[in-house]
Amino acid sequence: MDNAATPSIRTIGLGRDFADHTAVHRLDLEVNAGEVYGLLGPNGSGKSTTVRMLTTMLRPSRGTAQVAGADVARDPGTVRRRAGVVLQGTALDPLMSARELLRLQGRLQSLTPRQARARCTELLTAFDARDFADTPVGRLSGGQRRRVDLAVALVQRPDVLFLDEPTTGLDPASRRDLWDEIRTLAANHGVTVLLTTQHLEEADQLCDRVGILRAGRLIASAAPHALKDEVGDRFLTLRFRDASAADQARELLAAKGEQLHTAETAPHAVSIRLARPGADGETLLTLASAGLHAESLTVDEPSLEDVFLRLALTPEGAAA
Amino acid sequence: MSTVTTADTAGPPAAPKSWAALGPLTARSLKSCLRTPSLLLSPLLTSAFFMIIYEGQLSSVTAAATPGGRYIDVVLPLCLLTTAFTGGATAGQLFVNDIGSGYHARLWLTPVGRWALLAAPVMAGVVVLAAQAAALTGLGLLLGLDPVTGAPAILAIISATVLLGTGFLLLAGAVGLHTGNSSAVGSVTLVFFPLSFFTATFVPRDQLGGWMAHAADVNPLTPPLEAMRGLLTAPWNEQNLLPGALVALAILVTGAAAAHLALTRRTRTGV
Repeated sequence: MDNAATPSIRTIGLGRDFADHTAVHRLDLEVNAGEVYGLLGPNGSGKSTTVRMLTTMLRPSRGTAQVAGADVARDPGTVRRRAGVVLQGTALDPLMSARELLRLQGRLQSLTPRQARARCTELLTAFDARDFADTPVGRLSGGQRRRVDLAVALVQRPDVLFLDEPTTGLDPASRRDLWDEIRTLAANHGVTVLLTTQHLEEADQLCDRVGILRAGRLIASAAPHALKDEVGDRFLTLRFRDASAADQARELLAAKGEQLHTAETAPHAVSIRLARPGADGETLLTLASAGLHAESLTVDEPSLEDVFLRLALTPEGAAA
Repeated sequence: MSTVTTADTAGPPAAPKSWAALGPLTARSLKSCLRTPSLLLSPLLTSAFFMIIYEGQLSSVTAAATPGGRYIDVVLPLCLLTTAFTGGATAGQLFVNDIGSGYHARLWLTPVGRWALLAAPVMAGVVVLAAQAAALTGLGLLLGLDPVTGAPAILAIISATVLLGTGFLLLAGAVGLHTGNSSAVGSVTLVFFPLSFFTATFVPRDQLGGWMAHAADVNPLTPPLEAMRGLLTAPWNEQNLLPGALVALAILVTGAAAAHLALTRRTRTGV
């Protein structure tokens, strides 16, 4: 596959209606080969419906979608061979062991019994699952079950991996392990990853780009840092030795037209929104020229959470 | 967790042949049955219990009415009929279990033809049903069953149970696939269970009279029950066997149509 020319995932006007509402309107999306793309959005924004359409579990009502070069509606069999899926919540038979699940998955992906056994051993080793390989998965911990789930999704060596809220219910250590694995799959093996998540830190850590869905519409799609620069606010907080100095600084900065942050973050502190590049240096010079010297200063960078709150949760049309 | 290796050179495997996946899928469904003893034992023990009770309590009455006749010839087909539709719930219950655990979605995300995903639990159900019918017939032999035609009659009555049960397996499978609900699957049995009492349940058909005779005439379970009883008596009578075979075939076709509809609907509306 020509990575540069052909996106691993491409949707044009993709949408899905249900009896009483439209879950996804007209989604245009491209995810490049080897990229980790995060779909963010509040509950009911259309993330899981999008994943279900892209993985052939749900037929689109309109538009087209291609995964690894195959059309999800016209050639679902190829999509199912080329894409691995980790669903929201574990999708495993609790009575079967990891070994049984992996071998069966191999057979269903047309590996010979011998190939399926070899692939099973390889994945059990890779996921440190040999110790519990023969235990029914219903008796495993949440983290162990998630590892088995991911291993099952990788049996056929997919080009594209869909992860629908993969770390929900995992402890922090298991979550970090899974992040490492996802990074490795994308960086070392060129696997394209599309993940949905409610954890913004996860998206920030993992994703090359994120898209924000609101009410079934993609309202932003860019690298996390670009979204932060575009949407998020940076704040400069200065702490003075007494209230009098803080009041003088507040008056001076207000007179200069700076946007004061009204919330009191600390005693004798003044906080302003940095609305333009270099505003932090200018502010310090202004204060110094008036004989006001801060005892400490901090610059708060915007987080993806700020971006998310601003774009996804503010009323439609109110976002910047 | 260490790094997983993906064989970058190999790429995804070729398109699978669904029939080739049928074996592993059926084996997996059979394992699920073995790991869920209630699926195996409940229909068998219920039928065995009633067979022993009916035979023990009613055989002497029947012997007085029809000297030389064996009551087990009457009651074994009834118990096999009951097993056919209670055991038939197996496929539906397997679907319900998979839908509940989410594994059903995982299976549907494989490139295997969806007909194979439907056929595997049904085939496992057929194997289980054959084993249950064989065990009950074995119990019947211990209780005095001695068909005039010998082994062919035994094989024929087990096959008839499986044929009839396959229709119920498909019906219950369709309900399980459509609803994902255990109670709904159980309702398939509930529909047919009362019907088994509005027929020549404890006596041969020609000994019924009054309204019960009329009920037996219109009861769809009467022909298969009569046919199964006919298999144990020599010579085999086409007039007895054919209506029963046609009813079994009708249930089979109805079950297959219902399963097809459930499969189509689930494909359309999503997993």
